[in-house]
Amino acid sequence: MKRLMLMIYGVATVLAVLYPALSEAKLVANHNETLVRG
Amino acid sequence: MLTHLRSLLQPRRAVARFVTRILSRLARAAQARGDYERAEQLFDRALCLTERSLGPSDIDVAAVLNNLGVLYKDLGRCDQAESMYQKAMALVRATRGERSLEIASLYHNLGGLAHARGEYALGEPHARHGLAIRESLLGPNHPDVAADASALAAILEGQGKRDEAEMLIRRALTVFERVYGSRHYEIAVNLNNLAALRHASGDPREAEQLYQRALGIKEKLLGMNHPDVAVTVNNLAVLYKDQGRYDEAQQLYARALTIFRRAFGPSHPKAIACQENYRASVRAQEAVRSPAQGGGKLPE
Repeated sequence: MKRLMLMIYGVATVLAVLYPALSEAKLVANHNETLVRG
Repeated sequence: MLTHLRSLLQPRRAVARFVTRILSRLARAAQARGDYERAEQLFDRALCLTERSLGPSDIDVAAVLNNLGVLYKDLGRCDQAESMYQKAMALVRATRGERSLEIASLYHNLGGLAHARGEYALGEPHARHGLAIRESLLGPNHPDVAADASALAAILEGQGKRDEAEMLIRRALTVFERVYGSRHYEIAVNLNNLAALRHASGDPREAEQLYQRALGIKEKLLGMNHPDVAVTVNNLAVLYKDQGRYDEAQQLYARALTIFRRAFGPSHPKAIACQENYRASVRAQEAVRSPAQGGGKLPE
């Protein structure tokens, strides 16, 4: 029972830490890197 | 904040959104390390989950479509990338309007797609529009604005507009160095692009120094065999070839070509461009050598 509670608290802590970082949908902007031809 | 509180009242949607964003993050991490097959699988799963759980017009669907478009662009599948961007654009216009960070990213990426296709004049208005929107929302010194300016610079460089391109790159580098320090991926990309500009402007000494700095950062961050490393290796080879340092150039071409072929296959535009560069170097060396000595050999 104690282990289960610890697990639940652990998962909740991880989610609480991760959620703000994941709270906006992120549209990635690409990089235009120059590949020289010559 | 209100959106977050509202989402807590719909736990199934909140969980779906959460899982989608984790899948997207994992996909982007796979893409960054050059594992494109895994990245595509993860994006596909994220797209299925968002469309099914959040509906086809949710902003998260637009984000996954856009990010999948960036992956397709990297893989040289430009038509598929364009289709993804256009779908995402329609969704973002409907949900966020014409002046949002999401729209700015999509214009940035449409410019990037034109850059990848070599259609620089078509890409310039998109890149300028994206930059203008983001700058009006975040101010001129934000790193995302610097990233827009840097992307525009590459498109200008492709059209020979070197003065404006160099000014934009140097300004972006100042912002990136202030925010990220001196050994960040953004710095490496901009050093590479600045080196290409300095080479084209007739300053091979500065170009070589900049390429070496870019290469050092990329190798440390990405490893020796990442396709982004191969881009700078190819460019340094072109510089050496132009200086008549054919043996050094051909060693670098062989390295870059091996990396491109392994990552993307032989028919990817970067692999083809690198192979053509290699052949041009071999021909140039043969022209200055006696015919009996011959030239370098392309890797199998």
